[in-house]
Amino acid sequence: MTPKQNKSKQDLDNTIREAFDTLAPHDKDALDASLLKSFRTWQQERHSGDPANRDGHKTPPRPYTFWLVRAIRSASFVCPSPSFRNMAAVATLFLAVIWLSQNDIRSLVATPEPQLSEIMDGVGYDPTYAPIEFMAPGLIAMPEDEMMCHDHGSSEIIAWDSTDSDMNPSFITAENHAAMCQAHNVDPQCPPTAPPQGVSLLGCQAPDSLSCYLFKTASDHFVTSALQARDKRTPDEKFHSALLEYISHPKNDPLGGHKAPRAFPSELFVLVTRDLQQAAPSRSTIRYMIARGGLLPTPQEGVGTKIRVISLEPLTIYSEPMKTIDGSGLMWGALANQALRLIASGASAGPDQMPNKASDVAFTKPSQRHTRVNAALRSEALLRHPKP
Amino acid sequence: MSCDYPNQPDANLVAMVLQGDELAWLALARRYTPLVKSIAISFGVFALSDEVVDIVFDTALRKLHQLKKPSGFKGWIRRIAKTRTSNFKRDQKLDRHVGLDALMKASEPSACPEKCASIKEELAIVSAALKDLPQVELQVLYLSAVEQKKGKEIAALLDISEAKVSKKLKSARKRIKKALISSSERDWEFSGLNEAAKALTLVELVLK
Repeated sequence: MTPKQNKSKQDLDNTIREAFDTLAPHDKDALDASLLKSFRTWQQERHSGDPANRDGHKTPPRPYTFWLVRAIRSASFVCPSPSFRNMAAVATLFLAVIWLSQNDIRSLVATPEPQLSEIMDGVGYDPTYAPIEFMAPGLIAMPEDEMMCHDHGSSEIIAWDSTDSDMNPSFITAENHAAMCQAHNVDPQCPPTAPPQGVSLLGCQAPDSLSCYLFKTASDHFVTSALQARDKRTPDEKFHSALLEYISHPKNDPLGGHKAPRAFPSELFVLVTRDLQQAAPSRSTIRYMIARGGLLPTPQEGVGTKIRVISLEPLTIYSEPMKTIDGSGLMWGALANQALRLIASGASAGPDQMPNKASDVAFTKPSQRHTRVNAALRSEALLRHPKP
Repeated sequence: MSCDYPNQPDANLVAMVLQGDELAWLALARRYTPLVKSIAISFGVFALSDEVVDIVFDTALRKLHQLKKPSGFKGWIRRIAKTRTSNFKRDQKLDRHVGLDALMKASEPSACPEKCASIKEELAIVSAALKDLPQVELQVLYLSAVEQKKGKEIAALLDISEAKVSKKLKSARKRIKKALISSSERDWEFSGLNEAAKALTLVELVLK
């Protein structure tokens, strides 16, 4: 008999338990904390003034395909004979197609399109004000040669992009800021809420990105957006690319040439709009990828990367107007502004700063062995963004 | 006034939760966490099963006011767990993440490399066998081995008979043991082949 064959029931149970622990680790404290947090958010929503929220979530409108399937099924049930059922289904489908062709399909597919001002009210921003606030020169403490932006047209919003080479970069200067303000009928002298000192915004992708990540270190901040509405990659892949972008953008030396490696982020904000929560990577994934990327601190440093997942209202931002560059630029500006305000307010994600659920998970597990993986990840990043 | 939460029936706890008692919610969640986690595992969601538990209880909380019979909370949460897990699985496509703890454990330097290697090998075989188990067997095995539930408790949680629980447990253990034995037999055959090859080489050398 081999040792494996000679296992007692107790030994076997121990091995099984260990296998389960490895396959499905259970963090009781984190789960309890998360359950309590859900409960408190639920309580807050119940006691909020919104009657739709009083007894739970708002129910999103059913897609038209749901009603079509319902109609076909009902038609099939009405018919007693199986041979007639298929005919009834086909007839319903035929009628539905005729009906759809006579109506405006868009009005059936989309929920009533919210006005941009309504959307901005939802996040607490004036639509004409938010992007200007975001791009105002001098307010964002960063070297001028890094302030790359692109203009999609006279009436559209400037958005930050340091990665998209197709865009024609231009620098934000006092002149084009004034021009932009004029294009938006905004007073160039309007005093926007100043971001805190030392905040720098590097890589961002504006068009139709509805959520972003914000890596915060002791000395700077890095905002990147990876959750794009039309991006078909999995949430994990999107976060991975955001992480790569973060790693591959070393802190710029104003003198040029030398690029210092990035410091470990002390905090990571994952700003997710509520209707994209399904598309957001799970906290475990983020945790795992940060560990893989070697971004978890070494025990000597003794600090952990705190991950905050922040959901933002409103529910309906992923609708037709937001698919335009203009709308998403605005939305992105609003999201980034939320992030900046969060930092300015001492990074406390209370209900005053963020209208919805904010979950904090602090990870303090030491990491010793990620140097190799980290090196691999960095080289992958360098391949994507080669040094000039 | 102190309240004995763990011994309260489901209906009372549900009523307390609706009145805003967070400890009642915690007690209710703790009571059914093993069940929900076992459902997640039985659907093949391993590493992210805690995430599923979180989602299931969040959904349950938001729909709690729709629960018509509070005493039927168990069946209700079981239905939610099944739906949410299958949705989660569909969204995730593959549960390909390795837990960080597992990653750390695997990279720890070991004092006894041979023994540790054999333990790791065994763990790998058992893990693979667990993934191949039928749903109910996996669920019962998890509740018994990890949650340390007795046959009677498992039967009550899953609404099946005690005899069925013991039958499923027995069958699950048998399958895992079989996987272990067949792997060890393969090892023996392999080592036997190695010995034969060595002997052949020796004979060749002597003949030369």
